[in-house]
Amino acid sequence: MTKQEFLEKLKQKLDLLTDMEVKDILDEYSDTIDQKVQEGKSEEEAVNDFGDINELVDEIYDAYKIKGKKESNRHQDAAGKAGEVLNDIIDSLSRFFSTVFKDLTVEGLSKTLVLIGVGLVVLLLLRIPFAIIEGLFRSFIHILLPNSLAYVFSGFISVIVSLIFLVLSIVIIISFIRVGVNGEEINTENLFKRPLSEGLDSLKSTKKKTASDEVKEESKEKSNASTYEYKTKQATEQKSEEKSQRDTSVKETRSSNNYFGKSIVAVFVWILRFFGILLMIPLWCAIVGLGIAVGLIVYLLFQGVSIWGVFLLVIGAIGIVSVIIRLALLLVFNKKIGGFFITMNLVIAAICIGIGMPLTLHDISRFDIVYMGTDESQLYLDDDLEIIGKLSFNENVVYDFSYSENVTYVADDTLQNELIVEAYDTYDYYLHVSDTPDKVEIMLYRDHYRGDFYDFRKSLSFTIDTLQDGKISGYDSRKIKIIVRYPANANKFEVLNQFNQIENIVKK
Amino acid sequence: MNTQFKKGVLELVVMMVVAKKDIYGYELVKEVCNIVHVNEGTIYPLLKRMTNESIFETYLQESTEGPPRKYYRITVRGLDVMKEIKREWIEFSNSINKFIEENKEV
Repeated sequence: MTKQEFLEKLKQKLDLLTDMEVKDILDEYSDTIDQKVQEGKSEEEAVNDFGDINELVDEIYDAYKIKGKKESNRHQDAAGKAGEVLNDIIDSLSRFFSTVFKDLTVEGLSKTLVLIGVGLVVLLLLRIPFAIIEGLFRSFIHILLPNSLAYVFSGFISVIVSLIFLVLSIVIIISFIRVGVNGEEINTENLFKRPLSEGLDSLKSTKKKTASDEVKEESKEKSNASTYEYKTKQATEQKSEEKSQRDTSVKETRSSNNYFGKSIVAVFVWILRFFGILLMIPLWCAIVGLGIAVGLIVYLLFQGVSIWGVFLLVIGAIGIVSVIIRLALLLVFNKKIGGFFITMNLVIAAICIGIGMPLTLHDISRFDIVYMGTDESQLYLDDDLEIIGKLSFNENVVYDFSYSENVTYVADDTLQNELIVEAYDTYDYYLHVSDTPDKVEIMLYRDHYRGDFYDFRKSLSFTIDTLQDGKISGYDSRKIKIIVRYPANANKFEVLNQFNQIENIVKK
Repeated sequence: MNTQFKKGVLELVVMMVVAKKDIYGYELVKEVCNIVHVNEGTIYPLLKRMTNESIFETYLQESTEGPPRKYYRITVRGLDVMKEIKREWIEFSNSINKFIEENKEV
């Protein structure tokens, strides 16, 4: 850490003290560091002599009997550390850009531009294998899962693959730029292997404590410095002017270059943030879609269809997507992260998905598709009424009698004890539900042949599917007439009662 | 050297160094380090605290090598505190030394 960086950091952390006090402290420390440098130490060593900056700040606050801010850094869990790593990435990007723009020449610039062009072409070519992988995933998912779920999962996969590709592109573009700017040799090692291995190394090293502390402090300080100076351009201009009067000429050019580099960095940081937000749009769409799914499932629940498996799955998915959105917001806006909430979120989401998966499979297995018998000869009988097929009655049958204005009650003196419910749709084929004391029968009748047999069979099998699958009847109920025939001598109220009972039995 | 020992006696050393002559931060650290090793992270906050407690007072003095320097001077109250702590330490260390003497075989 340089003296400047150290003092800047101190200044921020000592924000609970008055400006005078802070200036007093900073001047004293600055003086000490200068003296040590004069005596031959490096700035870095002189700064390190002060020890851990957080402990220093705690001790200083202690001297004022102020309960200073305890760094929550030290007690982070895995999720918090992940957030730190993401912060480090964007901060080292900013640092990299500032070093890039320090030493640019015309020749270097043109070389860089050419390399960028080549880099973009390389990325276009790389897109192909990525698209293939993505396609493979999608078809795999579509095979495994039914349509609705498949779309959700393949949407996820697309987002993840795109993110990976984006990170890869950034790394490659940066390495290309670096090669161009530093005038390094153009070969595959410099262009590809080095940046990737360096990136992996820096990710690994951030897990070790000492190295990570330095990286954290350095990069946080730098990004804070860049945003700080971006916001207060006037102040820094004045400061660097004052400084240049006192310092030697070497120091002067260094600080003014830094300022230029830092404002370029700030612009780049904001551009990166803008792209970060764009990237989050699919995530927000995912959340909205999942919310709508929850609404639909609740509606179905009120209609008597319970799919708890899918419900839990959707809740779990909401948890995961909201965690991703949170992490993305951190990456973009550099805020501290509540590690606890993220871990809790993930845990709950994992539990929901864990329970939801098998339940969903169970839900799916509940729904059978019933195909009508296809013996055509049966349909050409002379009788007016004939039985086309019998549906097996099981508890998942639902039939929607909600349009009661279409229900007609007819007293029928041919009936003894029976109650017959007939539903006519546009094809004049009707459904017959009869409830006698000893059995409930559901039968399909054809009145007389009219229209295309295949159309009829399609609409009828759809009706049967609707019943068998326990779904809400999907066709326009207004086209259905419902006639309730009851024994002529029966009490109308009893008839209604019986009708409701059938409804309830059928609706289960 | 054990940190517990250090902390207890550091205040005393610092006060004695300042009492010898007015001194600024860096020079003081060097002097104290000749006696017992500490780093800036401990010394400076300690100086700050003792200043806040009116054991020291500070003033700025022009220097040839750069900006004005902050010098520490011990106050009358500081001298009293120093005497008290010095007495306590001598008493304490004497009784420890005596105990070690008496139990040479351990």
